[in-house]
Amino acid sequence: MSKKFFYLMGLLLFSLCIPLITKDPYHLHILITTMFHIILALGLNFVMNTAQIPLCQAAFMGIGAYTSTLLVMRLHFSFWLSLPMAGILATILGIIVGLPTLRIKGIYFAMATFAFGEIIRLLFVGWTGLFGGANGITAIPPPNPIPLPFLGQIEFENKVSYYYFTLIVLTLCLVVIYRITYSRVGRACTAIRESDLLAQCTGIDIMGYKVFAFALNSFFAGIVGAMYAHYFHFIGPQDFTFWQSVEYLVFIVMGGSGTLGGPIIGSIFLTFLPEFLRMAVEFQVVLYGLALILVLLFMPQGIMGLIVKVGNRFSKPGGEKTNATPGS
Amino acid sequence: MDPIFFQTCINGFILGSLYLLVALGLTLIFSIMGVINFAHGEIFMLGGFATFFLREYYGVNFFFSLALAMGILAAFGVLIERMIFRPLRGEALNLLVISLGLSIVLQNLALIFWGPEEQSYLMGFQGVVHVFGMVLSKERLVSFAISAVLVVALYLFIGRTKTGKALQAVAQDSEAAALQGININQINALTFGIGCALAAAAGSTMGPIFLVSPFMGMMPVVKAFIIIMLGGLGSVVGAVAGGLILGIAESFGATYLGATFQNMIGFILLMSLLIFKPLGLFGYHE
Repeated sequence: MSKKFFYLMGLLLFSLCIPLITKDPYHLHILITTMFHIILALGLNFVMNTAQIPLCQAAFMGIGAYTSTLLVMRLHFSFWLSLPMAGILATILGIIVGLPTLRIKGIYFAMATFAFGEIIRLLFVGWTGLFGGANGITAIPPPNPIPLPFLGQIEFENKVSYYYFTLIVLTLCLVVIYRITYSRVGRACTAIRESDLLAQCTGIDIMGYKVFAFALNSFFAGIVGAMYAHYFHFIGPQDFTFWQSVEYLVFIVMGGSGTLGGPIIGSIFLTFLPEFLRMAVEFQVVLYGLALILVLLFMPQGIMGLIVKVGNRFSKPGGEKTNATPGS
Repeated sequence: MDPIFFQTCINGFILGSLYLLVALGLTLIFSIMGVINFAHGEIFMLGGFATFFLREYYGVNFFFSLALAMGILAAFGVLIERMIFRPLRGEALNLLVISLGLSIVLQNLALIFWGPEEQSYLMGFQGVVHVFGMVLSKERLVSFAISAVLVVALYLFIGRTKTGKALQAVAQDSEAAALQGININQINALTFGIGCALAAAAGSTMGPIFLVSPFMGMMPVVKAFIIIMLGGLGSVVGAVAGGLILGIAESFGATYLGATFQNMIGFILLMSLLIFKPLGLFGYHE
């Protein structure tokens, strides 16, 4: 554990130093989007730990984005107030949707949430007066500057400060997910994933944990949605479609599901990959799709599975067991 | 009763029968793979393009090009089953993502080679028929007939023939089926072939009514998701019922409530049905 902590601190320190190495807006932009993706994939992965696969990540993100945007633009809220409000509203909706739908299992649950996601998206399209219809909302202001004593204020017009802001949020989310995964709640969730009937028999309130995981994920998605809206300054219904929701699932499966590292590695890999494939111009997307197929054909456990396999080959026998825990 | 009511009913019926062909292929493939095949919409698109090229460039008769398109895509279905779906059988999440990868590849290859323009072709049946004050286009009637013939043929094949029964057995429990001496690999390949042929048939018949483009598969496949969930996964009768319910509901939604609601009504139906009857109308517990 202490070794892992050491690695994590090193990674954090490295992330903190990145803006000193490159101030190129393009590089920072990719890193910021990657961090959005990591948070969303982590939240989704946590729900998938309770054996449910929701396909409405983008809908909760959209709810957060539109909530924050409307609060700031119509009611002149400060961004720092609208950000938690976006998360809270997404959580409330998550609980309302989760209570009836989480009783359904497997693919039927996935499809119920898919229907919910599409209803929300069509609401964004159809309710032109409030959500701006298919054209979306433009000219969303950046977060309000934070005044600092003696030093002036932190502006969010440039990418560097937004990078640090996103990094702080990501770190907080990681700490929350890490703490929960290794707590009683996380172990209960793992028990539910392995066998929900058995978990129920040992007195675990499976509905309670499932709703909790779903609500936590909704909160994360709502927060990211709000940050997304004020980062891109533009949102529209096409940003929150079903295919976006599926994308986060792809990140997790490619990285390796059931681990904490998987969603992170998957998000990083699949956000960077299209940028590397840019040189293939028109074949960019084809190669992306081909990469999905090939990686899964040759590494069924995802990228994390390969790393664990290689790691086991170099470490002593018996190291395999520790890697089977959910946090490896 | 006013004629608009009947017209709406019959329009919905025909619309539902077209969605149904996509949905049946999807539900067949689901029943053996255990996962929804995201690439199904792209098979549908390829079917549309195959018929488009046969009709426009070679002037082949519509029914003959339909049969040819079905044959080509059935072979393609068998090929993709062998190449990419068989190695990962049983791993639901991986299959889901791999089918998504396939969908991305096919859609974008079509975009590169054939461009994003929407194209159309003619079936060769122009004009309308007047029945009891209702106006029906001949193209839609022909496509309804094609759909009806294929659905009945599939129903008889699954229910009456030995291979069809083997297919049912594999869908219910592939291990037990293998113990009975059924060749699972063969049945899986066959199911993929049939599913893809049905999607190609749907693409060919919907091409003249909607338009042919690399993105034409995205809408019908979402409708097909709704249909097979409404009816209950893996059930042919359920898919028929689901298709007709969705077609009629959408048709009424469009006529009486407006276009945005037309798209939403299917999802509202689906979500409420799943909450109150989680296995769909005709689904059975495993």
